[in-house]
Amino acid sequence: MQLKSLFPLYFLFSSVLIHFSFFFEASGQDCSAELILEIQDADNADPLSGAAVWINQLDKGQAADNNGIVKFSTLCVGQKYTVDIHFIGYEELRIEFVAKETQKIQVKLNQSNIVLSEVVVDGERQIAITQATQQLRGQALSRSRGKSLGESLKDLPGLNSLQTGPGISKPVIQGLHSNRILILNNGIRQEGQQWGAEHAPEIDPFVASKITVIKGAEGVKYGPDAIGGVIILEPEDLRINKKFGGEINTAGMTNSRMGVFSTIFEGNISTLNNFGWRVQASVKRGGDFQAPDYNLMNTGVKELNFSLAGGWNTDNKGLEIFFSRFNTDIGILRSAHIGNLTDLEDAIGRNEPFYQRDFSYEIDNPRQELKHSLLKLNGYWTAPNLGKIKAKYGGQWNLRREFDVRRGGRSDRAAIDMDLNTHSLDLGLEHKAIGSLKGEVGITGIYQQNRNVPGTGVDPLIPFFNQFTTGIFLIEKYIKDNWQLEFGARYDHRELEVKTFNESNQLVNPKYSFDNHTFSIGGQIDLNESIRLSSNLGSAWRPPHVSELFSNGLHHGVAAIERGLLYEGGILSDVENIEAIKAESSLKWVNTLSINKNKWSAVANPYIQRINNFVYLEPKPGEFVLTVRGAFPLQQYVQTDAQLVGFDGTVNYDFTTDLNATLSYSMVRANDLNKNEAIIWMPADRYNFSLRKNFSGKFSPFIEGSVSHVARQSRVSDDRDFTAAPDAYQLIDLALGGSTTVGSNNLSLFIDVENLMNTSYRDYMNRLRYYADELGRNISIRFQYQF
Amino acid sequence: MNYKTTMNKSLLLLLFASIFASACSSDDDPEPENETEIITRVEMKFTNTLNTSEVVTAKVDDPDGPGGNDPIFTHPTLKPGTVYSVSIELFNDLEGEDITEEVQEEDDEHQFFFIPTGDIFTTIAYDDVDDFGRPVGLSSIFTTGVAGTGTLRVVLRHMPNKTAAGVAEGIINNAGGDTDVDIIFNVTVQ
Repeated sequence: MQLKSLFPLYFLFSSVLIHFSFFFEASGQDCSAELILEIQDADNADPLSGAAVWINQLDKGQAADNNGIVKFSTLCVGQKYTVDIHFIGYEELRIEFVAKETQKIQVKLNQSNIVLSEVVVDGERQIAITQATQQLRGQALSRSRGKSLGESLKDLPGLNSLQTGPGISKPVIQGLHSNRILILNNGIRQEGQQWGAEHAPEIDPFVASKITVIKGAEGVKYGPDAIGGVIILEPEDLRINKKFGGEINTAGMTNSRMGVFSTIFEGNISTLNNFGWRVQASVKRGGDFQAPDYNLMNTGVKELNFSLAGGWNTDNKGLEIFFSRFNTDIGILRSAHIGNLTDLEDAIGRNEPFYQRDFSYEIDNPRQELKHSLLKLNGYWTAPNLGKIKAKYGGQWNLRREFDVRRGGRSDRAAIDMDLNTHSLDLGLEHKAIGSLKGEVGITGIYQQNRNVPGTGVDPLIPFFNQFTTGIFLIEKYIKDNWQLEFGARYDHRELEVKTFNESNQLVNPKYSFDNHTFSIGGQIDLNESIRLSSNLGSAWRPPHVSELFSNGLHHGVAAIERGLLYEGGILSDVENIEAIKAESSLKWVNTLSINKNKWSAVANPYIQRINNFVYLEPKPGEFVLTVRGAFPLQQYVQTDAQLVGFDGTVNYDFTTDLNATLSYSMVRANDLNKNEAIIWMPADRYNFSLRKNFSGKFSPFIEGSVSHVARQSRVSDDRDFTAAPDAYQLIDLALGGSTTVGSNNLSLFIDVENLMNTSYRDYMNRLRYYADELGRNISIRFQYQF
Repeated sequence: MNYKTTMNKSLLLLLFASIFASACSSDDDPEPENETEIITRVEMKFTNTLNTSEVVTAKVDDPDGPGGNDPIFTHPTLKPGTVYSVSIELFNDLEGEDITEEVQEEDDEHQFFFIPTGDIFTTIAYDDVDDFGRPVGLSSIFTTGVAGTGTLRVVLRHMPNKTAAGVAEGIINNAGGDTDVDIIFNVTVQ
């Protein structure tokens, strides 16, 4: 890539920012004031290592070291700052102060009576802290409101999104996605039809006040599938001490003319002690998105979601109930529905998509209609001599209906109609500390069933199945002053029963079972006060999904016949013969180096991962399946050994307190070790440079500009894809915003301009890149009111 | 305290039991889905306009649908310098359905295209129209040329742009839409 080409843009931004600064009060003040916060437990004065400190004016945060100390050294003397201090199990605290040259503030946090922090938020407290993590919270999360989960996360280092047009976006962690990553929604494993590349997670990001991404393998904690990483969505704590409050978010976007509205109301009940509740709802409506030169016909989206939560707790026990419902209707680019390979080649040859129309909110076929419900019940009890005993039930009901462009009036009949139900139960014990040893043991059980609703007139994509998975695990941490060690081990057993039909339409009913054990070991050390090093080696596993075993048929979007692992030469081979099929097993080593020194801060995550029996869809060039509809290329699921090596990192430099620059970079190299070639559908290298200027004043305004460069994915030879990978591209984004307080309420406004130059480009990770360009310029305005 | 512990334990057991009891209830076996939309057989009847008892049938038959065994072709042998009236019929033999009717009912959303190679045909003309007066191609008139061999590609497009340049004349290039049928016959004229 030509880094040189970025430099003129850098200067452009610098000058824009400098010009802007004249509009706001020019500050020639001293911005090297130092703040040291010492964070302690209010009861026993224990240092609270890991407590998160957030300076709102800088939109910057830091975690307390093992002595509970956090240091900031670029504050402006005389300016007023508000700082939020947050630690799981403690009440959140906000302090305001005026910066002096050097000051040390002792902060004492009270253990909370908040239900959620004790019971629900398993995610954060159980993250192996030796793992590489990334968070979306605070202002960055506010500025992503209205976007889908995949879209919200895709700009974080090491993350990408696998897209099917603008409406469907799946998160990718360090090159892996779908069944290789796990999403934890409110403490429950999200179970939708996530095996499909066109199936985005059925989650409304508005339920979360913080999204954490773990970039390492977490097979020990979460069981099968957590090979690539975990995404954790957590809501705000339920407030049993607050009478009434909430949040209103609205967003409007020029591209797709989308409107989003979301509310949260929460509080306690005066007549009922120790009880907190929350009601949340969001609605979203958008029409056809626009590429710079044309409308993307039929890419609208409709969403209506809500959630309810209630919880009760006393000193040593608590109960909570949560229910959420996600409803969406997503249009898929009309031109991406094709008949055969010739149609695909024609589409690739066209400069513009075949079907076009004036802007419309109409959603026609092809489209997806999804409903996902989640019910969670959980409780805990602290036994004085034992520790904390926890139980959690999760029920999920996922309905997916996909409608196609069909002949003979069948378009109103779903072509795919799947009903997936999942029930899970987790029991755990966080044992009392034994010296410096803290830990947890747990057992889990998950039962899942997929049913195809009859009457579609199309052979189902995946068969009827029942699946039962159990696991037992132990995780322990040994914590010392400036270092800690953790280790864990787990054993899993899965049983899978399938009912499907062979070529002669006879019912076959194979049963499979898989067993596996996983382990992890990690360590963290503070080399000195500015350098922290952590390293984690973890194994994880994933039995092949039924889709990978039993797929057999035409995949419309890519005009290919796909055949599962159990098909040999188009015939369902001996279905009971599982010897030939092995579970994927992975070993991932992730390292994190973080440096915080003077005006510099940097995080680097190098990793290496080996996945044995890696399942992927192999194109068979030259092999065609002949049909009345024409010839279709054949793609066969196969297993190989794969290796992923990658790096992502961020460097941040504070020119002054108010002006800082961030450079981030992500790359991954994935290879099929048996064939010695690159694996397809892996993200291209990405660079991002951004410059942010904060201004003092009542509205604490900021302006931020960023340039990103995405290289060409040139490692996969062109003959293994339908067309050559798209060219490299650069995008410029611009953002403005500010916040103010009205009494005890908080009001924020953000304006974001994406693809400022209205550049036409295509992205390698979009499955509709054969048909249409990516989105043109989009200006979005977001308004947030917290009360 | 003891009483409470027992309470908690039995509650948990109850939870566990109820979940897995409800989950493991027996299910009815699934029924195979009727593939109603697939075309498994295409028949193209060439009737000599001067002698209507002389009918040549070109055929593609794929009784097991896409995948499995390859379709079986019956290629036509025609007379030189002859005008044929051609009709096309489409069937789904898996479900015993006549797809021709569906195409007739939605004739404004369908069009056949005929793409020959060699000099086997001198003219190919549509002999039917939809409600908007645009060609469909279920009926057409073929005139053969001199003796020889060549191929005839027959394409049925669903939702083409019937008003695009050349489409009414049977030129496929601007038609778009998605393909329902795409077959190639080896044609002998002798």
